[in-house]
Amino acid sequence: MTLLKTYLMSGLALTVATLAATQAQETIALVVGKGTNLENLSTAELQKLFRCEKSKAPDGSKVTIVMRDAGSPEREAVLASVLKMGESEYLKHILLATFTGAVQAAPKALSSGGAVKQFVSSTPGGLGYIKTSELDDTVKVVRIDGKSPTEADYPVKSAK
Amino acid sequence: MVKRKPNRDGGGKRRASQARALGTMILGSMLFLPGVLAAAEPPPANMDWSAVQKLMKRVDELEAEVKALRARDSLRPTTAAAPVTEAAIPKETFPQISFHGFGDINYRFSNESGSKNAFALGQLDFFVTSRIAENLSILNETVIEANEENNFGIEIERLLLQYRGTDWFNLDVGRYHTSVGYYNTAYHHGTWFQTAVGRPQFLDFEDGGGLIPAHNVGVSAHGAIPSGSLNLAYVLEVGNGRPYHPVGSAKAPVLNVSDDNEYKSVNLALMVKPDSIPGLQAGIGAYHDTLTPDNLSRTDELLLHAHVVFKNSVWEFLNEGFLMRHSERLGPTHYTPAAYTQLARTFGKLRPFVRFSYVNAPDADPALSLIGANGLRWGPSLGIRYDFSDFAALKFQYDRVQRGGEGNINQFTSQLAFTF
Repeated sequence: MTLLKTYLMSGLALTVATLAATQAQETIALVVGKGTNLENLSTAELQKLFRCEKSKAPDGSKVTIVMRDAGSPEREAVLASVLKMGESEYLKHILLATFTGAVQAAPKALSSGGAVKQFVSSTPGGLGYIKTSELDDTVKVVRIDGKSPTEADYPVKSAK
Repeated sequence: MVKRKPNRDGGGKRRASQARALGTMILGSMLFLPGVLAAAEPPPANMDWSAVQKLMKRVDELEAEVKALRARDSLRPTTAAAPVTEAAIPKETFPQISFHGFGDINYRFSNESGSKNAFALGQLDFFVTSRIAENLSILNETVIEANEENNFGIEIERLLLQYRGTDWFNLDVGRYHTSVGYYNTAYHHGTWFQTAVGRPQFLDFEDGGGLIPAHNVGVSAHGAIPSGSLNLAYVLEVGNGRPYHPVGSAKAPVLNVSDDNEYKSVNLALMVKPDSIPGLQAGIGAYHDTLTPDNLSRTDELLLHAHVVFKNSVWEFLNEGFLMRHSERLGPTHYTPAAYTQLARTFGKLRPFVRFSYVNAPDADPALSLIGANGLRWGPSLGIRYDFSDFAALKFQYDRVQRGGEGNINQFTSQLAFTF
């Protein structure tokens, strides 16, 4: 029985170790204020909003994008997963969009998840992103392509 | 069997306790597993396999429970949100001014008659935007550059009051770059944005002998057309149009403060950027004006333009075609076709590119003769861009220009382009 228990325990250990390694990365949730009607966005719609090509949600309501500061893992994750861009490419894109007159100004960038929560909860149409561990009852999670952050194929990859 | 308490407040402690216990078991088994395996004996013949199956089932249940707890934790609201100070969110005040500068320094030599190899300061481009209200902003692009006599001059290239109402309707009033084709609106005076050292020659600005009306003073309305994933957009511009003054005239090539006739130019362009092919943009348009050049009959100008562009982080494939028609009221009609194609691919910081351009402006077109834009010119350009910094690039370009009835030109240009 000792050997059997050992086998079972080692199997359990491997499983849990794998789960623990996975948790080293954290999922990023798209958030809006509690009073916002926005429930879901497609990846294509999200790309247009973050590229500042559009300023309206599919239901016609105005959306104000808020970013995290350059260098934050959350921002890097959104740029890589949603926009398929790096930081310098995104900066160049926004600069070009401003230069052509398509964009009035670069999206506001905030220094913490708490500030993002406060911004989206106090700004009508505010849309930002935070780590799922920072979620609280002041904000609402927006699904992407119908998927919530708990689902395996959620398109915003985890930030380290 | 342990009975679970439906106690939400104690859930966190219980989970933490479970995790600690689990961690201890994992550590223990990992530390002692090799020794245990080495000393192991074969299982006894009278093993209770039903007990084994129960244990296996229990392991499966525990695994499922761990997963469920982790998933629940990832979305569990924190009981106490970290307080955020007012200072963390800058209050929106106006005006919000943003400044950028662009510049370039060139070295060029060519076999064109009368040309001497030279270092050349390019344009020093000051770009300022200022949001003055929620939906209003000012855009200004002012360029300082030297002329062929080495004297510096300053020119307001763009000055716009912009109203950003909805995705469907936006308005710009002032001096703007016309939406004639793609290049003229995608790239303005800062060469840093452009892959090549400059524009295709026939798309050059008015004072550089370009064919198209690059600048205009007037009103521009633009926005999206409801079209789902097709992403149709429109631009409608009404302005003073372009004057046709003789080369060397003291008069400005853009009608900044007065028009030379009562007619206004109108440009309508439609673009599509389908979601199904990210990076693709295609467009068509028509520009119309009535020209009244000195000593020439009144002339109707119609410029048809179309483009197909594909751009992403790796590829850049630009294609544009133009057909200009000048119909003299008391004379013949002249057609000028022009086109270019440009292909570039990014390899890290390097981006080699190739371009081929063509323009055939008939010598018989008196309006184009006035501005020195007539003639047949075509040929390839080859080059490479090296982005040695996020905000500076070094470019090398070779151009060969075949000219109808004149000698060919071979030209080499190197350029340092930067933004600040």
